Amino acid sequence: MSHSLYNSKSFLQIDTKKLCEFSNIITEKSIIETVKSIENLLVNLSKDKIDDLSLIMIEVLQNILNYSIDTKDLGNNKRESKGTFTISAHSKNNSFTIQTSNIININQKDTIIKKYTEIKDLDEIELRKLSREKRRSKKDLHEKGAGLGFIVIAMRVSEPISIEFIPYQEDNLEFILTLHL
Amino acid sequence: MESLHIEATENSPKITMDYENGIIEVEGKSYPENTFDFYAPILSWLETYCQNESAKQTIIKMKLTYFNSATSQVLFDFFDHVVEGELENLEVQWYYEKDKKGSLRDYEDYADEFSDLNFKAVEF
Repeated sequence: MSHSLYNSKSFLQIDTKKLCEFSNIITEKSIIETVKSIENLLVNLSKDKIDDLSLIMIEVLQNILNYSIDTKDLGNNKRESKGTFTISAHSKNNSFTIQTSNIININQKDTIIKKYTEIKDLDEIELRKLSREKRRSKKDLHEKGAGLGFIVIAMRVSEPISIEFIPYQEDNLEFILTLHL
Repeated sequence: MESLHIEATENSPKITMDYENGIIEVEGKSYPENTFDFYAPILSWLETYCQNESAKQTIIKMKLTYFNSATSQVLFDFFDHVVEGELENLEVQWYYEKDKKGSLRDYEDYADEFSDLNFKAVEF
């Protein structure tokens, strides 16, 4: 079981060398900055890998904005919420570990587990099929649903997605997502 | 009917919807925070274009380098409108990057899903 990450710093590192730190306040602007950092600091990676990493970060950070209990509406269709994330590159085998942490209401746990269970054992062909079904049915359209986002992530990771919930004050949980690619 | 032009931002694509010449182009990255709001005027324009007498030929150029899952849903709406519009002399050019697995995968998914449309894969 992971320890809490919620009050840690967000950063991008290669092996043990930190390349940059990020704000723990997630906004549209901070998501753009994260993607730019990936593109600018990991220049030795293939375009394919940079796009996979960027897309995964976009999905997980937009999910933090969608799901977090502390998300604030800033007006003009802008929001912010607190969330922590780490991107660790491992030069030895050209792989990455991503961890994110945010606070959700306990009522959301079952929804996340349901969506996670739906995809966790699917191979790439099955994930593509499910992705098309969901887009076609528009089930999650305009809703806060991590269904498609989870599929986008699952299609790009090299190991099964790991999710954990740690009790956090009253009716809330810290949701920790760990990804390898 | 007037053409619609939207400049690209760091997380949203450049949109060109040229009524007179029948050119519809979406170019760049697409992950705006409120994806559905961003695309609402584009879908609305497309719906009107399909309902009205359109140009003699319509070319849709999809030049998306990458896009979030919400955009992937909107694209289904987009092509649903195109299918319903039964446009004459339609060609959909889907630009892909050869060295990116996901890029070609996206083309295959949309071309297969909307097999009635004349999809063509074009290398960036």
